Amino acid sequence: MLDGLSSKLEQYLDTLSARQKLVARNIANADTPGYKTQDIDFQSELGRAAGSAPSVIEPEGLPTKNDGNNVNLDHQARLLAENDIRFNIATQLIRGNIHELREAITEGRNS
Amino acid sequence: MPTVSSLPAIQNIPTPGSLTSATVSSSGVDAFSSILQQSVANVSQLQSDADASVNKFLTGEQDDPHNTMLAVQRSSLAFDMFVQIRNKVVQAYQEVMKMPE
Amino acid sequence: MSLFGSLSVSASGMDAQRTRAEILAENLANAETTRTPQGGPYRRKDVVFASTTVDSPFDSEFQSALDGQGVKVASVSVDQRDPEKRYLPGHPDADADGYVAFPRINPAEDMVDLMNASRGYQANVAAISAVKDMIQRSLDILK
Repeated sequence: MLDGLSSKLEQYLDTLSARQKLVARNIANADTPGYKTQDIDFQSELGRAAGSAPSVIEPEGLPTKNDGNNVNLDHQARLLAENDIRFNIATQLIRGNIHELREAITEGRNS
Repeated sequence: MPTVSSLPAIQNIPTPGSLTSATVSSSGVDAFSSILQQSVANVSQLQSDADASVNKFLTGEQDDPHNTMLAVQRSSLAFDMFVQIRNKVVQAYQEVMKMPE
Repeated sequence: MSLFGSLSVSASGMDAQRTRAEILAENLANAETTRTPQGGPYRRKDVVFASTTVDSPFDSEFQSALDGQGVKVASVSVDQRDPEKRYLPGHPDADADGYVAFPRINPAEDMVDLMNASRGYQANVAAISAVKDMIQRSLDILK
């Protein structure tokens, strides 16, 4: 009953949450020599089976500093905010769905 | 013929004990009881999913809170639905019983 | 996967940047120090960061690729180069030839580094705040 609506949204939440963990890791390692920025592999994300872990990749082509680190702190800070907002939107949508369903089930009154 | 009273007792789910098909034998009750059976099975599955999710959360295996919250809500909604169905079934049974012979 | 673990990752980032800032501040404060208890002028210090696995109290044996990889100060390196010599014959620390040994520190460089450390620190604070927000939104699902 809840399967259609929430499982897509739940998968979206999984992706956002995984991405945010990587952003936090990138930010912590913004000055670590040799550290490469990590992100979610969005290509494989579309075809991923629900319940499996998203795969992590190191994006190519990022400008690298002398010590081998390629983290762009401004970009990561922007991603941080964006993931947070998207997560908020998705949880609000889920809450809306749940309330609707509950209304429908209990027909507006508590049994 | 499956009877409502032969449904397995499931923790925390009130069994509609007042309904036995020994007294009501019209085919309408079979339909009711199979709806109930399905509903009970569904609730039971979702409840154990929710329990498993909470456990994973507690042991740290899966500690994204949103997965656990969603599992709990699904099971809660299914339970609400079950309660409604049960109420309707009991109501219908009572209606049937009021009918003159 | 550990959303709570990422709080530990960010905390490690804050820790490392703070240490870095402290070392840089020490450099700046001692940019002109010609005499130290060990003898000789102050020698500039530098931090070396390295990625490290960060443990969270709620960790279990179920590890995954997304688990805590934070940062730590692997070592503090001390400048081994010969100190800068300036000709100041009247200086109390002047040697026989009138030269005084000064630390090799470029204050402008270390100031910029200090600002970067501060920025890095604040970014980690923002990460903790964002993750905390997401956890709380998750709880809202139950409301």
